[in-house]
Amino acid sequence: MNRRRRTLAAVGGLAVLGVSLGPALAVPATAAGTDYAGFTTDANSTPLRIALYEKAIPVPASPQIEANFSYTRVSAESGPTAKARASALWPGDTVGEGLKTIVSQVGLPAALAGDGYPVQVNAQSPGSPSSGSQEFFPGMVGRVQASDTGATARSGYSSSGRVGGDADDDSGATVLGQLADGDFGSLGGLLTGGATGDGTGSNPLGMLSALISVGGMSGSSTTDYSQHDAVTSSATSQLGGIELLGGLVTMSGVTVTSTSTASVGTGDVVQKVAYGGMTIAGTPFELTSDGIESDGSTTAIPDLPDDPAKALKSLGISIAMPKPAQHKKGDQVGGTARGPVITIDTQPVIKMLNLGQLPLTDLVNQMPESAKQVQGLLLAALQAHPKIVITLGQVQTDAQTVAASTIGGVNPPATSGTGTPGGGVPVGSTGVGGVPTTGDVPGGTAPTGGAGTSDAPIAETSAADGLPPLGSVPGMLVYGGIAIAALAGWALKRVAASVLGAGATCAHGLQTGLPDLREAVR
Amino acid sequence: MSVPILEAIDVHAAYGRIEVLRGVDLRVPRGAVVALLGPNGAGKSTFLKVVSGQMQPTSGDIHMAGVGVRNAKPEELARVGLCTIPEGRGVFPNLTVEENLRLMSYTGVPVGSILDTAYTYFPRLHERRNQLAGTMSGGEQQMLAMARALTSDPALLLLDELSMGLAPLIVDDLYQSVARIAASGVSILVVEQFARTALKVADYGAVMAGGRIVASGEPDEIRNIANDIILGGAA
Repeated sequence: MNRRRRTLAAVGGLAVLGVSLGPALAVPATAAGTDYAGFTTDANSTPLRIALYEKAIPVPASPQIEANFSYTRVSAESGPTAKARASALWPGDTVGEGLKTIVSQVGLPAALAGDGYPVQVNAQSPGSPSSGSQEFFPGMVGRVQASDTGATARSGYSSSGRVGGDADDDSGATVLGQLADGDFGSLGGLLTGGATGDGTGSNPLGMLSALISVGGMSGSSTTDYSQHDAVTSSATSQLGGIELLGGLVTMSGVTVTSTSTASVGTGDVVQKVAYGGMTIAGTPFELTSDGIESDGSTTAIPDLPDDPAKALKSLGISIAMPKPAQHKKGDQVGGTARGPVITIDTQPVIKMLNLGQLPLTDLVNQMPESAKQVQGLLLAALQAHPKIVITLGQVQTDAQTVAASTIGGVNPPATSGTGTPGGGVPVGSTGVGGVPTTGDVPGGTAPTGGAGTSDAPIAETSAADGLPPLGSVPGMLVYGGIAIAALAGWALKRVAASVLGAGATCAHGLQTGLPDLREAVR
Repeated sequence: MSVPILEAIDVHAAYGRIEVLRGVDLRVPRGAVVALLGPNGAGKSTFLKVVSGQMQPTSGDIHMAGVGVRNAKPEELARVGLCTIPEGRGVFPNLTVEENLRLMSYTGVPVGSILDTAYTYFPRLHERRNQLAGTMSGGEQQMLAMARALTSDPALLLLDELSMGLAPLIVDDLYQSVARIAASGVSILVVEQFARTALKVADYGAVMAGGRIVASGEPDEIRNIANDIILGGAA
């Protein structure tokens, strides 16, 4: 009777101890899927990206200048540690991360760089700030948040500056018609933004409105690692009310999304690029998954009318609709999706403007010797013909998990309720009675310890069954490895000596061996 | 430039913890006579031991005819045409001149050919052919040592202190023999303290001091330098 009481008391004590220590000792487990041992996720988005490639610009990056509007990025990895960033205008990592260096190298006051690139808000976990927001300027907000279960970054604003209802004009068709007729005089207005509006707007994009004007945009990047068997990274970019090249091309909206999900041994990427309505030279289009709908009929290939296409080509403009790209390798998955990509090569335009006839080079050469540095920059600028690439929505997501390594076929102990038949660590020895495991222990049922062993040291609970004593295995591996390597080296040397003989080379690249000196002097 | 018959690159050698050679760089062109000069203790003989395989260098490389021979054994080098006449001649004093020469037949060369070569170069040995080598003069013993070397058909001859203990006139005669040997196409590296005598027949000279080659060049260039370096201006 007393023995039975003692047993019950011991089991009860073990249960209490198990409840109290369980969370501290256990590896997180889930009801479904295999727990991962590590992970990394990354997601970034920008609804509007303008990249300028011009080698005359002295920036050590390609593209030399880039602007990512409503840029967001999150990244996380095992720990978990996470970072989130939102920026109304991210100038690329080269400038954004290295602004201080660039400012100091060009000789500008260090105070200009301050604490780094100013138009950004960041959060991190663990650490501070774990959340934050910044209203970069009125109507333009970025919010970031990072925690031990996920991270989020959002940014967005409305940039067209238009009053509602006044976007319905045909300035694009007018400009295109003039260009098609060979009247390039309208190009000046196009380049200065004069062709984009009626003067009632105050577009925050400023001079860029000549290239592109958008009614609103937002980007968001999130990562979720709250589950213990899967991690997710997703990014979305939304762009609405788009006008390109002063209304030459208009689109009602572009949404680009990508979601990467990884769990141990498998992963998936879901991507989507959805376009709203689109008009090219006044002709309305609707882009769907079946193709392009125009006037009630569906067309598979988005051919442009000949005249606009020729006019665009003569201006060095091309439009591409890139397909989403993704990669999957087990539980390493990722993808990139982009909306329409407009490439503007300025070389044809510069040729049309016939700037070469102007004596600009002679004028620059007249500059005094003291301004030689400026003179060099101006001469380089005269030779410049930048290529501008506008991407209407770009997202990228990556996710990866790593399975736990199993030594001796034993998984670490898990929390209650997830055990499998045949699993289980010696209950008595762990001190956490009744705690099953998710792993399979060779040999089936583990021995159940008695109540008298419930006071075993906690430290022993982490030792898995089947492992030789710590110290002997590393030592054996190290010494064994050294012995095998020495043996292999000796054997290799013998083999090389016997096979190669005089063919081996000395330190100066010559053969080694015994030359016939008598033959050499004859 | 053709591949030299002997090339030493940054050769270091030591007796125990005492480093004798401290980075010797030397080239012996094919068919040339190179005089390696220097005072006592400069490391000249040690260098010859390293070249002939009697001593292993601690670092550096020895190339012969463009082939690395760093770990070659002395007997292996002797078989491929390297011949060393050590300081002190190394003749068998209790054997006659002819018996000393006959011993060279172990290389596979017929005795008749050996004797013919030896007596052609050194007619005096024919006169002394039945005399015990140990009873001959130093110069004659040196002739016997050189004759033995020549019978092995060397391509590279290493001569260590040819003039050791000999009268200047005898030394001059021996160096005339060296010149005749060189004219037959044998490359010769001769180690000598007496610069003036050696440089008379040398194509190139090198001065060694403190375990390094401190000067090298044509005999005329080397003569004055050697006088300055070698203690006492013994040459």
